[in-house]
Amino acid sequence: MVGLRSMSRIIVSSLLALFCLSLSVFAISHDEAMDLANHLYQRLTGIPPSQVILDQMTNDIMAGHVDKAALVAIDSSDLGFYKNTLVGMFTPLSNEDHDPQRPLSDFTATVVGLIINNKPFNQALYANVIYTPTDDLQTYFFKDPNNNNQITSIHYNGNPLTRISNTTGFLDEFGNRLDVPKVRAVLRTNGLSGDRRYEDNITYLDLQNNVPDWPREMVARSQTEVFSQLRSGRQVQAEDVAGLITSREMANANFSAGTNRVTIKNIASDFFCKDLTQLQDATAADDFVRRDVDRSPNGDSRVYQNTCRSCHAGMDGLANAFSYFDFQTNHFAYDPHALDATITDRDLQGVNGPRKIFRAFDNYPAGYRPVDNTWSNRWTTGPNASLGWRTPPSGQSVNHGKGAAQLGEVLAYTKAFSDCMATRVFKRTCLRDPTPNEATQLISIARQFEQGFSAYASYDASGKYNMRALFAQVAPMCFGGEN
Amino acid sequence: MKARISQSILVLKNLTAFLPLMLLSIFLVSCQANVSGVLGSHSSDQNSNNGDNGDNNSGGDTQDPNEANAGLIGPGAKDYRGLEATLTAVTGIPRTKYSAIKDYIDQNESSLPMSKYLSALSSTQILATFNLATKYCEFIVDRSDERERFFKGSSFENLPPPNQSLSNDTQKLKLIDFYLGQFWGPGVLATQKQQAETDMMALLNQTLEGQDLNSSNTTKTVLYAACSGILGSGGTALD
Repeated sequence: MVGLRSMSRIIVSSLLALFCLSLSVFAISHDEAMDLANHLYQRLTGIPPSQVILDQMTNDIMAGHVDKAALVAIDSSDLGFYKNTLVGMFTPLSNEDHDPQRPLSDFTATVVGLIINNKPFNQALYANVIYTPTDDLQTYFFKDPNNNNQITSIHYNGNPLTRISNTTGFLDEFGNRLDVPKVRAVLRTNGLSGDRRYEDNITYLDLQNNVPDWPREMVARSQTEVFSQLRSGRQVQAEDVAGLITSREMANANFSAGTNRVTIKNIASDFFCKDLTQLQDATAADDFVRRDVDRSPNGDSRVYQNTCRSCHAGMDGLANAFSYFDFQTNHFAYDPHALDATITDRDLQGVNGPRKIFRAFDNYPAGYRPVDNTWSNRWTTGPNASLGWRTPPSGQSVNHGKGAAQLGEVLAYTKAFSDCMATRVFKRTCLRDPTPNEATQLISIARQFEQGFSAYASYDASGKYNMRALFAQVAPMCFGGEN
Repeated sequence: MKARISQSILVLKNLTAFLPLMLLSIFLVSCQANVSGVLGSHSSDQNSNNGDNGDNNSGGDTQDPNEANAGLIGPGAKDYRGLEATLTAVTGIPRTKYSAIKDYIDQNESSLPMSKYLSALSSTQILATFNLATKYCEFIVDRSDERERFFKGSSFENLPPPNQSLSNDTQKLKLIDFYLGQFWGPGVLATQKQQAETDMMALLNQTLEGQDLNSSNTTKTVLYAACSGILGSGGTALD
């Protein structure tokens, strides 16, 4: 009997506690909810909400669904989430100087394209994809082989255009004058001698400046297709394409001068949220460290063993994936035969070109000589095993492979990538560092991000690695309420 | 248009001792309002109203200092992208429509806010933000087509002289509330709105003092001053 009474008291107490808890969760006034909704909307889109959207978000927040309020903001028709928040968040990652004021580029356009189309965002590291203007904006040029290959006709929306002059614009099939900047924007995508993406950034500048709803006016194309338009003799092979890593904008940061090792530093920083110094491992095998690295700086081999090796052992093994790339004076270059021929004096002098891989080749002749784009991952054991290497669904080995695509795929399926994205989303949304407990919570969210958030099926955001869903999951961590 | 703006600026120069303080006051008040529910200002009550970290923070005295910010929103400023997008959205003027706006942005890009962290917002960036807002205000007020579009449905569309449109507090409040609704959006709390109304009322009264109340140019000056004060404030620049 006593036991029953005691049990009853426990049950009643528990029910009261639950009741109080539910009151505390939902005890938010309309004004407080509206204020949160207003802040959340502006944080996620950069602009003030409309009354309709504000009301909808306020109701969601009052019902305890901050995540759904976030999705309302993300999906608003002004596209502010894509044009302001995502572009602002990822632009610093696209360039060496982390300059947030760089214009829209193929890097940021592809980030937006993947996210607005609900593609698994880890594809950003390995997919053969680049987002460009849609077919509706495409203009096609035709060379006349009977007239010294001069441009003789231009098609817009599938119809031939009459050219007024080289600079003043075009008339459509009805004689209406077309907006010149708009035409100029699309010409660059499939331009005079094929694609011009690798010569400049005009396509994306014009897209951003002249097409207000540009996030919805893009289409995914394969990088190999676009690349191949430019230099038929040096078509980029699919095995060397790795999403954002081989975008023109990031190529400028990755492959300009140097020996392409900086690509690994940039990947670690951008997509693992790690400085290279955090990935040092002096125990890693150094059999892939190239010949340009002095094994005895200033005559002291300990410097190499204790300092240089800890970075180069892992970095050089991975950087070989990018051996065929270069970026010179605004020009993205690729040569799959760069390492085939006999090394000449010219190569050894460190002149421009993909053979920059042979720079300072005599520093340590017993060092590794790259022969192709084969890479080896020395970080799967030792301290960097904590990056969470996992065999991708394709079965690609995490230990070795050939070309940037396979490496990108391995990097894309690490826990470190998902953890980094969750942390970046938190910092962008909450504008502060997570506390230790929040960091633990973010790791849990990152694991769910990999599997997909089934609760967001009605928002078309339940797929694996869905970034819209990740923002929705993270928003309640600082904008209050429980899911 | 430049001549008209110069005239407006001349009038505003009479307020040199007053206007900057007023504008700064409005910026700070709206800043305070904007961060009222965020990091820092919650420190005294963070144990009581943060639903998503109650387990960690319950117990008051034993709270882990590392978790002091748990659940709180970091105060934010709009970076230049958000700022430009907001100014375009609330005024209806795209940044590329007029060269004066585009040129100002191009020439002062490095002075506009680059970070979203409020702590990184410098006085130079606040000034550049205000100056950019005034560029938009010039077009809203001085260009008849833009003015008619923007003020459509209000009593200021056709620039009635102050003795018809700004002769009492009700009429002045009508202008202030119109701007607040357009520029700060529908999510402004009543307390924030009241504070802004009080500050802007003082600005309007000061601007009208000693002016020709039968002249539409005076109305234009008031419209410009009020527009700059509200559009260049924290209500627009912070999130």
